[in-house]
Parts: sequence; structure tokens; C-alpha cells
Amino acid sequence: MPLLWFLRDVLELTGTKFGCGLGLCGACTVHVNGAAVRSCQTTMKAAAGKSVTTIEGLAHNPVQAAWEHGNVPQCGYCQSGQIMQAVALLKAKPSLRQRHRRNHAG
Amino acid sequence: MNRVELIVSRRGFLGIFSAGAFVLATDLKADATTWQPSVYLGMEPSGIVTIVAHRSEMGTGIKPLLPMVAADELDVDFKNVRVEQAIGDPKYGSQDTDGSNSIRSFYEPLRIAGATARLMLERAAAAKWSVPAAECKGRNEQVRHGPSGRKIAYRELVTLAASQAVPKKEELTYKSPSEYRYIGKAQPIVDLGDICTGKRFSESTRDAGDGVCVDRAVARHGRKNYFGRRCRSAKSEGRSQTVTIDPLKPPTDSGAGRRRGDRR
Repeated sequence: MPLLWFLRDVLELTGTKFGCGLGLCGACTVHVNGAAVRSCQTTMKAAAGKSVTTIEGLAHNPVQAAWEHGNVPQCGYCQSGQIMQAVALLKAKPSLRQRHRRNHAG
Repeated sequence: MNRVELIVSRRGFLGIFSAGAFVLATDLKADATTWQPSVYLGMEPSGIVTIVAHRSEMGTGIKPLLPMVAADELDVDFKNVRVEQAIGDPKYGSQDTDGSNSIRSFYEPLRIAGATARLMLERAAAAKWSVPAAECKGRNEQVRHGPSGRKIAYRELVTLAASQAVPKKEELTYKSPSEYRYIGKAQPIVDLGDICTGKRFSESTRDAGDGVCVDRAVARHGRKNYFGRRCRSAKSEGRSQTVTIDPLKPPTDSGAGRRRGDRR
């Protein structure tokens, strides 16, 4: 079973979204041991024994506040995944300037 | 088996609407204390105004913007407005959201909805005070009688307004652009907080007894339980629509995104 399905259907954590099912769109992005991964492509076997963080686990992260301040989302469906990707990026590269953040998005 | 199945149940959709406001396109009877002067707009005795967003939000902002047109004309604080997404129903007019036509097509109808409610509230106040309706003006969620200065909140007039005849379009008056609170001004999308926390698009229609699967449109590509999951069968009772879509093909079969060893 893909991690995405376990999160949504078993744990009922529906903040992580199904987009393409092919690891292309990023809507399903979660953190596994702190790294951003596409949960639709991550098997439960691969996630076993590791720490998984979903959008529900961010708890008022500054990136979410920035998203709201900038009125970033359009339809918003994939934004859980985009936010998770941004959080992981900034954690890995805290010295990034704003223009670099845009170039690395997705 | 390859298929995409979307099962919708009427009760599942109704669960999204507030039972205390007005209900649309259903067989349920509206609460006796609720006032619904328009298919787009209703008001509760608490003062909460429910305005229907009948077009699809796809990032253009139309979900708050058309309701804001009505709210501006009615002259209520948008914080006291509950925007509810409409289901498909011909009573709203075209719900086809494309071609940049939503504002062009429905700016006037939503202004009419707001102006209609405001005029009915003004007439209700006039009836209550036994004064000419022309001397009463609705602004900032209250009606004021000009000559005497008396004021009364909209919410206190809901029941009386509901007894008023719905005015004709020709009887309506509209705010001047200089009075606009929201029209012409940038506004955030209504679901911004929920989008940024993952709560949006998670409106659970998990089985409350009907086997509703609105958020479980899935595609099965022949790999058992890999991409999808069969929706639970809805009970015959309460099911309003089942849509079966022909099998979809991925944009590419190059194996992009798959890892070595994944089962086919």
C-alpha cells in the first residue's frame, strides 16, 4: 500500500492529497525522517520504522503563515504538498534568499 | 478493471450545509425562522447571512467575490457572511465556470439579491415604525429612519422581512460606487486558512451510513489497490447520482515516478 493511502484511508489524515499517483505533481508530499517525499510513490515497507510528518503536523509553521500573508493559493488543492516541500527545503537550506526559494519550488 | 467511479449521495452533500440556515435544492423544509428572499441569499435571526457561491472556485477567487457583491449591496460585514458552495441546480442559472464570464454574467443578479433583501428589511422597519419606507435606509447591518434617527439591526427584522412581498427589480435601489465596501477591493479567498493547513478538500463524506464517496474518486489501473480504492457502495436509499467514467490512461507509460521493483 502506498503511504498516501495509509495516511488518508487508515489514519484518516486527509490533509495530504492524491494528485497524479505518479510522483509528478507533489500534492502528496510528506516528510519521512525530515525529507520531503512523494507519499504516492512511497510504500509502507519503505516507510517502516521512520518518522512521518504530514501537513497536519506542521502546527502553525511560519511557511503556512507566509502562504496566508501572500494569499499564495489559487484553487489550493496541491498546496499541502507545496507547503511541505517548502518547509523541507528551508530546513535543509536555511540561508536561502527569497528568490532562490521560488526557483526551487516543486 | 479500470474505472473511475464517483458516487454522490444527497445526504452527503446536505451534511455540508448548515441546518440552521436555509437549504437549497433539497426536499428538506427550511427552518421556520429562516428568511430566504433569493436563491443566492438567506438570513438567520442571529444575523448570519448565508450567500451561495454557485460558480466553481479554481483559484480565480470567484467563490468569495460574487457573494461579496451581494453582501456589499445588502451592506453587511463580510465577517458575518457564511459562503456556501452550491450543488448543481438549474435554479442558480449557469454554473459553467469558464471563459471569464462569472462576474459579467452574475454581477447584476447578485446585486439584485443584495438590494432585494435590503429593501425588504427597510420596508420591514418602516412597517414596524409606521413610517414611509422611503425614509428608511439600510446600511451597516441596520436600518435607520432618517427623520427620527431611530435604528434597528437587520437581525431584529428577519421575521418581519420574511412577511414582506418580494419587490420587483424595478423597485430596487442600489448603492453608489463611492459606498462600496468590498466591490473593487482586493479580498483574500475564503478558504485560505483551511487550504494552508490541509483541511480544505478534506470535507469528509466518510460513510455516515450512506456510503458516500465524494472525495474518493479514484482510478484503478489494473494494479490491485495500487493507485486506488474501490468506493464503498452507496446504499440505494439516499443515492442521488452515480457517474461512471471510461478508463483513463496515464499521460505517459514511460514509468516516470516509479521505482525499480514496484509491482506492475
